[in-house]
Amino acid sequence: MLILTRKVGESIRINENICITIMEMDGKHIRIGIDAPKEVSIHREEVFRRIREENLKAAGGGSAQDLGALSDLFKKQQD
Amino acid sequence: MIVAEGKPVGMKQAQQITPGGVPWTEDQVIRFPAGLPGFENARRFIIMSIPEHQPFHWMECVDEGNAIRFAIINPLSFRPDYQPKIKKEELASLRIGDPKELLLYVIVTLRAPLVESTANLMGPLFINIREKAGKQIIIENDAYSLRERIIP
Repeated sequence: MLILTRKVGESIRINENICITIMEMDGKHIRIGIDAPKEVSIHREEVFRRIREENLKAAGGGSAQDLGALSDLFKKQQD
Repeated sequence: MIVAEGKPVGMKQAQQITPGGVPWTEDQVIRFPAGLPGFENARRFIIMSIPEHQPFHWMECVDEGNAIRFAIINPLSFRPDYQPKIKKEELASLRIGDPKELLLYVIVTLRAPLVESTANLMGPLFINIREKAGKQIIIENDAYSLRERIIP
């Protein structure tokens, strides 16, 4: 991992079109500004990880029989 | 099965078999150019609708070596108020022209007992059915649950 030291107001540029700026420090909290093309998706790591873990879990479980049974349960509670 | 409208299918397309063992043809394929978080190499999927499984569907990967399938559901069928806030740019890659082209699904996690199965409202799937392009969008705010019970 590349590690750089930056002061408030200083930035890091990634490729030509992504710029990350340290906006503000307040104790343990650091505000970061990110300038990037619109198509670049930017997420807090912990949110991304939760989605990934749930995707992995969802892909791993369940047979056609299970989904049929869940469909029956769903229809029953809609009645 | 989803068949794109307005695109006449000429010659009968060669049938292939997904890594999970399901027959498919090219005209069914929906591309997820970025894959899905956790499955970055799974780029091409088909959606299968089995009448006995309604309102659920299966979304299955057709890429070699990716025997992956998800149960999916239109979230509006159990959460009619579902309306995640999404920036226009997030959907730019889907090139939405007419909102009617847009399909919305969420991934279902089947659990034991089945009645406790949940849907991921934090990571909805948006599909442009005309372009046959899809993307899983991550909803950053806490408005929606990662594990929403489908049957309350």
